[in-house]
Amino acid sequence: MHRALTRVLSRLARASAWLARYLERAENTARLAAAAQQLSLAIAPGEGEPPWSLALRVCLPAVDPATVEAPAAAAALLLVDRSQPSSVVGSLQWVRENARAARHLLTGDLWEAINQAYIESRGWDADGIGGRGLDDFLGWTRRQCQWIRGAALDVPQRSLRELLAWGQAVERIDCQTRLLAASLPTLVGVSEPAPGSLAHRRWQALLAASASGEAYRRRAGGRLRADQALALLVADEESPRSLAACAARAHDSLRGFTGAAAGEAMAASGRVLAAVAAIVPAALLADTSPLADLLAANNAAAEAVETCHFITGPAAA
Amino acid sequence: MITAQTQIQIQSSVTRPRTITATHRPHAFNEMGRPDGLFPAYAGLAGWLGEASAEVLERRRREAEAIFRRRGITFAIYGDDSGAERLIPFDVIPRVLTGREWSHVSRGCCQRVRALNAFLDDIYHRQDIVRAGIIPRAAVEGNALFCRSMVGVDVPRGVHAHIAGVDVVRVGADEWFVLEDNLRTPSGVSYMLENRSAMQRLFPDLFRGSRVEPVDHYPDLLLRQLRACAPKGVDDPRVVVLTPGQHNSAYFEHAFLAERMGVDLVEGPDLHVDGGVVWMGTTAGRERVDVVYRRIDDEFLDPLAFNPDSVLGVPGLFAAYRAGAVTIANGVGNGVADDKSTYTYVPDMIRFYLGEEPLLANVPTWRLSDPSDRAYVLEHLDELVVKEVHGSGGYGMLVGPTSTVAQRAAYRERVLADPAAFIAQPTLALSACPTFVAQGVAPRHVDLRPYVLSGECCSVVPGALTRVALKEGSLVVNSSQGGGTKDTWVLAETTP
Repeated sequence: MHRALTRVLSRLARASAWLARYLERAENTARLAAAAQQLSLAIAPGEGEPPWSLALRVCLPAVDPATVEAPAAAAALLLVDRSQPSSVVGSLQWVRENARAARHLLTGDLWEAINQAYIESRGWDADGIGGRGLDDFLGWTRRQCQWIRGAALDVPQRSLRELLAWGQAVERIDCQTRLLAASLPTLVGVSEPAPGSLAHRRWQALLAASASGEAYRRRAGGRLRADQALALLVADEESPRSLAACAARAHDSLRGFTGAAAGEAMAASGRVLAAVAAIVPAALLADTSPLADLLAANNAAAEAVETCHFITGPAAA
Repeated sequence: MITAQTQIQIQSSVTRPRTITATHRPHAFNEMGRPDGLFPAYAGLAGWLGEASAEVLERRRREAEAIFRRRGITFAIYGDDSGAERLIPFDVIPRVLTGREWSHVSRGCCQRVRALNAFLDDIYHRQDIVRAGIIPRAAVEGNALFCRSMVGVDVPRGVHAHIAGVDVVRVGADEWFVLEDNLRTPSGVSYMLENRSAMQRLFPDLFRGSRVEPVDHYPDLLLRQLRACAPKGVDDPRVVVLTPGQHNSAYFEHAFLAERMGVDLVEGPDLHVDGGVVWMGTTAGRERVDVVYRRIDDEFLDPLAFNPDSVLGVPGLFAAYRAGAVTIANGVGNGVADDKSTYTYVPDMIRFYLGEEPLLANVPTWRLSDPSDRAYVLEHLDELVVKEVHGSGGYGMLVGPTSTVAQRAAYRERVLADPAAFIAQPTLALSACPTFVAQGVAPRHVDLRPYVLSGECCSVVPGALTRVALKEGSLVVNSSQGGGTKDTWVLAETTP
């Protein structure tokens, strides 16, 4: 029995990790869209890069924002376009596909939560997210993702839970890093933005997109300071959303895997920890290149895990 | 309209009926009862049916549908890019059998499967039944599904068909016929189990009022039988379910059974053969596999032994199987025993291998390879059902009474081109059960598929899959052609 609970078929390990990645992606995209919507309603047209344009750059990097008439078309692309695997509904479809592959390993509650979210997602379209519908859709997405995540806590196999945690952490690092890389150039020069100013609104949008607005306010009170916000987003290990916490979580979740190539995967994951540790949060305002290094390290670690743990056949023996 | 009732002369399979008296009074056995009274099986249900309004039944039907959709008991249609997934329609009115009725059917099915397993082991070894002149050699070795590579292969306990689905129809109170044996990859058992689960959720009061035999121990029985058929010397056999993948229309069932048995669900690329042993790749390294419950057809099982283009199978799996290093369930080469031409010999198999008279009769069948049978059938095409020997799913057959002149003419040409590829049977008025349809509760034709498990013994859970033809007058129950399913209740016998 212990054997069955501690190891996972390699193909299903991959499916589980990607299930978690796409779930995180769906929620991140929805949160980014909410922040973009909030910001777009608060600022005047022409005040810097349109918020929806930045959201597209982060979530759908293959799409040229200049070709999209924001905000309705951008919202549709990000949220309900089924041809985009990284849109919210696209991501939920891939959550379901991966869950289906590993279906017999999941609890019935988890499978039904995922499947129900998928079924309901098929009822949303561009018309449905217009006007009041956008808020309904974004709220629906958050609830579905959090329900699924809660159900995932009860998956009986520890190794499966760790794979889900790993996938979530890797995706969180990926999204957060790209969000910072895209946002910070627009926030240069103001270390303590005045309340109500454009810079202040953009910082608040960044914190909201990172699900860190509440955490920041509890830690720093009412004053918004760039260095403190970056410290929270990058280095604060107490915050589950910080890059440091996510890198540590991803690294820890690999400890239980003992296949022949486990050492390589741990080494690659260790390089992500090092890349995060090398970042001086406040210095990012002047130079965002460490974020590119982190993104590269994260991608390399993900590839290493794929190669070491997810490939089946004689090579994995 | 319900098709004409036929007078069936029950004879041994050696002689086929020469005369059929067709009457034109629509008449099918209604399992619920006659105008003058209900049959015992439905005594408990009748009150509920009488009180339940159409609105309530429709609401429950929708709830059942929502349950099935949420559970993912759906399948995608090949070639449909919309991503829409279909449900097999579920009827909320159960089919009910008494314990006595079920006992007769289940004993008959077990008997049949024991004989078929003996047949399979025999034809791949001594072929005693051929030597005895019971079955022509050509009918065995000339059968396209006879697997020469299986000759001489010893399988644990001599069991080739570990899971058999026997399709049974009823035409009278005590008149049951076997329509077909399914010994390769019989499916549908997950519907038997999920239908029961749905009914218990939707109608708990009904179950309190009736003593219905449980079926949910099927996966436990299945696992026990599979483990009992592991290769010799293996103490703690590892069983896996081998699936073609999640795009297969029966994938839900594959995952369902793996989960219920607590075993791994694998695809071909998850397995490899090394040193004559079958291994699967895991995050903790490779692990030996002892029993493969495969839901992949023979042809795709091993590209080194069969179709070289198969990407679904496992290279070297068949060699490991022949060497006794792994058990494959159901065994390779079972198709020779479950096609429609071999079907006509099953009663003889029962007599030959078991020394018993068949408890369940075959539907009288004409073999069109026989010139006199062929002549008779071609003269009575409008009265008979003609089927392809290797057909399935209800496709490729001619239902004479509902066919057109042009259809019969075209089918005649097909028969004449390859007579051995066809058999014919009289049109049976399948029994009907109360079914919830658009017009309310109405009788619809049904069949029955019990699942017989073989391993350390022959066993059947007290339940089956009932398939129902939802269209009025239709006899085609296959889900691929619009059929639905019902929960099947076997009432526990009360001590007199």
